[in-house]
Order: sequence, then C-alpha cells, then structure tokens
Amino acid sequence: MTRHDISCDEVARQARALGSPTARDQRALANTFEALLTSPATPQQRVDALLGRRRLLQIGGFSVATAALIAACGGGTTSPGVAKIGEYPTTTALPDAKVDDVVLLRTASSLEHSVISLYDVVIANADLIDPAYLDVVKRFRDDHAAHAATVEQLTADRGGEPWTCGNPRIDTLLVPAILRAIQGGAAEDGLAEMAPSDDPRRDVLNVAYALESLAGSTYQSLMPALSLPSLRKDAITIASQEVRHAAILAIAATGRPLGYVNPDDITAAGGVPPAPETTAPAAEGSTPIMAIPTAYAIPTQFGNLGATPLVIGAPNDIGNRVSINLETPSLNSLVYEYMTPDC
Amino acid sequence: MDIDSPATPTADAPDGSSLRRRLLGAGLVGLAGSLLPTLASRAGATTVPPDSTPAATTTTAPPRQPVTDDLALLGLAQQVELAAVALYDLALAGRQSDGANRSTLLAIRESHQAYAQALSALLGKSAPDVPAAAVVDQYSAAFSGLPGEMLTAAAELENIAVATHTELVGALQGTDGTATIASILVVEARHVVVLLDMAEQTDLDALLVNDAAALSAEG
Repeated sequence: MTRHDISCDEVARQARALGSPTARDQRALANTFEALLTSPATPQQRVDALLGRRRLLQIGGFSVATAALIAACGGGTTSPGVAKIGEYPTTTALPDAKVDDVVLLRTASSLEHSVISLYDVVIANADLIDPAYLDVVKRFRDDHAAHAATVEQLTADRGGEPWTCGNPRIDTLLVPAILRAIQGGAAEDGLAEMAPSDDPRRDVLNVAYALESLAGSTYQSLMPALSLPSLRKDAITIASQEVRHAAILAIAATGRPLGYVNPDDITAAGGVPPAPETTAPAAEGSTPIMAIPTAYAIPTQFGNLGATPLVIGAPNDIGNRVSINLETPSLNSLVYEYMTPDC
Repeated sequence: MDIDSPATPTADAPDGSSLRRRLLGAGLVGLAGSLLPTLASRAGATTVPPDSTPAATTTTAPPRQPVTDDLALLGLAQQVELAAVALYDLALAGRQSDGANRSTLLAIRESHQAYAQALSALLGKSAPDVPAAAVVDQYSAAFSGLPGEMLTAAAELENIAVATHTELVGALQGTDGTATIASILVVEARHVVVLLDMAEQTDLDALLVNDAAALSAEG
C-alpha cells in the first residue's frame, strides 16, 4: 500500500464522524445543565433528569461488583461473621472472659465480702440473733474479714486486681431474697407481699450455716482449678476454718447430739441415730407446712460439692416457705477481670 | 483388553484435550467456590472492644493422676487414716463411749475407713495399707482412757490429720489426689468441732484454731 492508495478526504471524513458524536454529547450536556440550573425543578427531578432509570441500574450494578471486589480483597482480619454489603450496625464482641487463678481468687474474696455483709446485718439487729450467739457471729465475721484479706493478697500476688466487694450475683439475687424472707417485705417490683419469718433467729442460724457450708464447698471446688499447689493449700486452709463455723452453727441450730452427724451415716456405720424431737401431728385437714432441712455438723462422709438447701421464712397460704439451693460459684457468678467493683 | 476401557475414542466420549479443559474449568469453579466463604468472611465488620486482651497463652494443665512424687505423700495420708481407724477401734472396744457418743464415734471411725479406702484406690499397688505406727503408739493410752481424755485426744488427732493433709495439698501435683485429700480434710475439721463439743469444750479458739503440727513422710 502506498501513500496514494489512501484518500486524504476519506480520512478527514472519518475523523469528523468520530468527533461529531462527542461534540453533540458535550452540547447536549451543557444544554441539560443549563436547563436544570435555570428551571424551577426540584432536586429529585434534577437527579432523575441527570441519571435516569437505566443509568441508575448501571451504576447499581457497578457498585455491587465493586463492593464484592472490595469485600474479597479486604484486610487480613478474619471474622466469623457473614459477609454484608451496605449500612448495618456494627457488633461489639463480648469481653475476654477467661477463667484463671485471678478470677477464681476474686470470686472467693467476693463471697467472703457477701458473707461479711450478711453478718453485719445480723449483728446490727438484735431481733435476728440469740444474744448467746452474738459473740460467735462476731468472731465468724472477723474470720471472714481475715480470709478476705488473705485472698485479696493472693490475688495481687498473682498479678490481679483484688476484689473488695461482695459477689455481684449473690448480692443482687440471693441476699435480698434471704433478707426479705426473714424480715418480710411489702409488695413491690412484681413481688407479692411477704410476711416476716415465723422464727427469724432460727432462719438466721440456718442461713449462716448454709453460707458457711457454701464457702467451704467453694474453696474445696477450687482444688482442681487453681494452677499452683501453694494456692490450693491456702484455699483449703481457709475452707477448713469455714467448715468449722458451719459445724458450730449446725450444733447451735439443731442441738446435740442430733446435730452432730447425719443419721444416715450413723445407720450405715451400724450405730443408732439419736431420735429427733417429735412434733405434734398436724390437725386433720390442715395445710402441711414445708419442713426445714436439719443442719448437721458432719452432713456427709466426704466434703460435699453439691448444692446446700436453704429453707427459710414463714409458710405461705399453701404451706410453702422460701426455698433456695446455694450452689458453688459457676460461670455466671465468677468475678471476671473485666468486671469493676461498685461498692 | 479391558471391556470397560474402549480402545478408541467414541463420539460420546470426550477426547483428551476436551476432558482436560472440562477438568480445568471444573477445578476453577470449585476453587472459586471454596475461596468464596473465606473471602466473603473478610467483609464482616465486627469491632473488637478496646479493652479486650489477646487470647491468653496456653498453660500446661496440672496432671490429674498422682505423679511419682505424689505416691509417698498419699501413702502417708493413708497411714494417718488407718491409724485413726485403729485408735477409734480402741475407744469403741472399751467403755469410753456410751450410747449417743458411741454412735457418733462409730460414724467418725467409718469415715476414716472410707478415706483410707479412697486413698488406696488412688494408690493401687503403692498403697502402704498399714497404720502409722508412731501415731497409734502415741495416742493408744489416751484413746483407752476416760471419755473426756479420749475425746480431747481424738480432737487432737483430727487436728493433726487436718494439718498433715493441708501440707499434702500444698505438695501434691496430681489434681485427683489433691481433690481427694481436700474432700477428706474439710470433714475432719468438722470432726474436731463435734468431738470437742462432746467434750463440752466451749472455747472458740479451741474449736476454730488448729495449732497441730503436720506429720511428714520422713517421720
């Protein structure tokens, strides 16, 4: 092909043909903008005029494709969440809640403080405790304060923040229920009116017995969980003192010799258990009253990790009292490191 | 010739290059499908709270079964329990206990027997199965004596057992042995209170404080 094989006129025509649509588009756009800016159209009408339905669909398709590409090529942080496109509220992950020595020790000191608070209520109210046991209760309260201090020091030694308040869950759910059952309460917050206990001093001894047993069981339950033998020794030393509290309270609540040993264990050993006090049978047709579990100084052959039953308060219309099972702290009552005290 | 493998390509069967192409295509589709969840998960927008900490480093869990060093310690515990059984047998054989007290002592004696058996189960062939002779010798006279003397001696023996087991908890490595010893000593602490109450002891320090010295495997 030589230079003369190409028509210069044809080349010029093709170039004009290519340029003319562009020039037309530019002119049309200028006219559109001018009309839009000078007309009384609403903002939405201006957007519609500019983009049109087809254009919006094109932009929408492009946006989806771009979003998918960005999602696929996103940062290296992996998330178990489902992929999402568009606006949606972000989620906040739960705090790290590992259970280690510090958490267990904080939980133990929280339990000590909850027990101290209850003893303080009893000591301050002469109606709740037989004067013969006032010094005993004061001694127990002081022992718990010493135990709390020991456990708080152990917490600090393990690099944790000592917990110097009551257990939040026990203080929120258990303590108010106990005090309400003993002292009575008006109808409030969806709770029916409750009459004061028919024997507050009996109930206080049983509550103290149950809490001391719970404290002993709690420290015993930490044995396989604490990482260091020295920590286990410190914990079981405290447990051995708190179960002595429980034994003294059981004898006070039940009497001697009935309150010494669970009669089932005496029978199993070939002995004859002491006869329980006989009570007058209920009159025919009367409502049976819920029995209160007997407290024993030696309730089981081995240390018990099961729930401690607590029955307190005045019987209601159908003979039921307030019945609570005290269980050793578990995942919902541990004092995790992210929790902050509010006492 | 294998009749399942035609020697020449047929019209229905794809030739080699076509098959390769299909396999490559299927592979690409499969690869895309398998990568999709991984890639899509990157689009999740979970925020991490500012106060959260990285996952804790893993630590070595303590052994459950008794380790070699535990055997001697658990053996000592069993010998103490068997000594208690022997001494309570002495008391029950004499006239040191009347009706109600006798039943309580019987139950406590049975508990020590159960403790020795539980430790024997942990130790297996390593169980000494003999009482601590020194303990039996030391307390035989008191357990054969007057009721008050016997009860005080029994409480002292229980305190020694508690102190000894507490030291063992601080030395044992295996958690099974630790848990067993712990479940024993918290009841032996209750024994002390009952025995002293039977002896009409009312001093709170005597009931609550354990000054007894722990026994050691070396004697």
